[in-house]
Amino acid sequence: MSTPYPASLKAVGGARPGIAPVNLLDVQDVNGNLYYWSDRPSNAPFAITGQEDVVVNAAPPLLPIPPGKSVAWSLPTVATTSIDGGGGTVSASPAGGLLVSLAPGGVAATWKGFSIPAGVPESAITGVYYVMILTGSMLGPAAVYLPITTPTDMNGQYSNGPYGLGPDWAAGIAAISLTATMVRAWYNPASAGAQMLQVSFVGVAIYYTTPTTPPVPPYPWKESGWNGPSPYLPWIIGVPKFTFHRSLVTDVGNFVLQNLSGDTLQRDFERLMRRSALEGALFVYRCWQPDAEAAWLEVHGKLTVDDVGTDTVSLRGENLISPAQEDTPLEIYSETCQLNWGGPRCGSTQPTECQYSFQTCQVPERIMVALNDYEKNYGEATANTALKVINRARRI
Amino acid sequence: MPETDILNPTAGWDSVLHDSMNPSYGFTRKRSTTQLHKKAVGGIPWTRETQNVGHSFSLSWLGRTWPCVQRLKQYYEQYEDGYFTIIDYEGGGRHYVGRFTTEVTPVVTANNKWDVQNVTFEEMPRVPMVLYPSDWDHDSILFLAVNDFGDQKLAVNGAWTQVTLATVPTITLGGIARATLPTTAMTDAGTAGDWAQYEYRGYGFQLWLSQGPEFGKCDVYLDGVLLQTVDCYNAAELGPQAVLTQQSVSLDIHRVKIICDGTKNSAATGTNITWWALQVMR
Repeated sequence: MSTPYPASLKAVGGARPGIAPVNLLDVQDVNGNLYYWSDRPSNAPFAITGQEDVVVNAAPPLLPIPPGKSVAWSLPTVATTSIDGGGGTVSASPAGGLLVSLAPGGVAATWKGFSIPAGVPESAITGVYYVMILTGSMLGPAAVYLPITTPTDMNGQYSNGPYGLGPDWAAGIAAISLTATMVRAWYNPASAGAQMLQVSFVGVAIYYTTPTTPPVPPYPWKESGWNGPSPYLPWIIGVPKFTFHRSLVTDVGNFVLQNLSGDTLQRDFERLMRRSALEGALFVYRCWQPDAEAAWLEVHGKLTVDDVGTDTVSLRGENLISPAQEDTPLEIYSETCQLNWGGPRCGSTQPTECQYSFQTCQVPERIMVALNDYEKNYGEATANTALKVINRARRI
Repeated sequence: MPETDILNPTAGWDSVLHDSMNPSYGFTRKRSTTQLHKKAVGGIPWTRETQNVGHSFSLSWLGRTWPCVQRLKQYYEQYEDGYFTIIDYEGGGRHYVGRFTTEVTPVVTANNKWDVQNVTFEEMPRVPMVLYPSDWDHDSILFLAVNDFGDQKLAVNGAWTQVTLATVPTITLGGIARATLPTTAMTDAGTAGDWAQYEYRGYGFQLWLSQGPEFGKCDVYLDGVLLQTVDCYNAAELGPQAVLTQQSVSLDIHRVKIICDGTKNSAATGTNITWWALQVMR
């Protein structure tokens, strides 16, 4: 049974004179860049939203970005050290944060001065995570202290759960103080020289709800975009007519986009291609009914660049599951076992070779046969219909 | 020097030919588009300049003497693989370099009277001229950093941002003084090495950059060749000014590039560079 249309779509009716549907194409390329294209102005909400701020040179955030959320990084602006019988140095890190190397001794480094990054509306913040990344190994009795509880070591990245900072996010984030502490091993002076703690990245990951209102130009990949009321750029010249097979047959179609916009030296598509690859990019195509604010049709799939012409670009979309793209072993499902007798996958240690049948199998738990496929070994001269009733049921 | 070979060197009667070499009914100048256009169903049009084709003319000489027709035939034969100059005296004496691309077919209509009709003269790009077009008030067009549809056409590298200028000059285009030209421009702090570049089809150009106390110096290149270093400093705030006029440029697709020097006049307060427009001869 198919999914029923929303009531709003039923209200505006089917194909009849009225507001024409809008073709919307949301694309997220392999590097996470987002593109929104349409053939008409539209204020439709995005279909692909989750995105990560990539301004910092850090590992991906520990926790997956939920749908509809974005992550922005807040970096410290102040680092201090306190030395108790040891030594320490502080220097700026390439990521814009601060890098602290702690020499042996009772020393601590503290990072402060966090703030909400520009472009993140405070009202949209839903969670804050501290992230501290250590490089190298942590030797000796060093420790990392974050404001609450004991941080979790997730493969070199230290963080904790979402930390509620109260309704005033800006003040809460400004009050954050992260500390890495290393304590001299008084009980074992001989090991003191081996103590080391290097912090390569300190930041606060701010999760916030992606605004559904259109972003303001200029878009990151286009210095000056179309200044209309929508983030969807009117680039779509043609959309495919999808045929849905409801099987493993791949549903394909070509999206045609204009390839003329851009400055006088460089097309937008050149810049876009130079930035990333559209091969394998995720797309969501929607036939959107503006007055009903719902989609008649929504197709999810992957893109490949089919053709780049002088005035148009053709992007080929195909569904997410494409058996033609799979690398599968060259084995045929039949009643004859496809494994080499005595080989690693067979595992037989018997002295004589089997007959590659189920009956003669020496390692039945590994047999590679299709038990429900029938032989078609009738001679050409005889009828294709078996005259003698054969019970092909097998016991396994 | 074919461009010095002028089909009609005189505006009026040629005593040698006992006739005039100027065509009947004047110069019917036309130019087909050199741009590609694409537009989504409900979108704005996107365009891109793709060719360096110039003007073409359909010319006729009616009731002319045989020496006049002979000259037409000779020019057709001589410059089938070359080019020559014709002068549009009625259009202000503007020169065009090109050649006849259709056959000169004389038809006798009376005693020593010949008609040559509908000969196509096509302008040739990338060739020198004796006199480059200079009627900025009528033949030039203005390219802004951002076109009317909001598509940024000025290619930039560095921290260029779009700004809205308080005042822009009045420029005569097409014989009309345009007092309400768009005020969008691109500006840069003048970081050494930051550049802006515009590709256009046409002849010469005038570069309009803002001048005032906070503006610095930049190098102006045409097709990769340094033309001049421009100092945009002025004690008073002038707004965009034609800081550089380069008239002797052949028809082609050209690139005008400015590179910020990061230097300034000793009296200037900053090194800013602001690109407003490029006026191009067409």
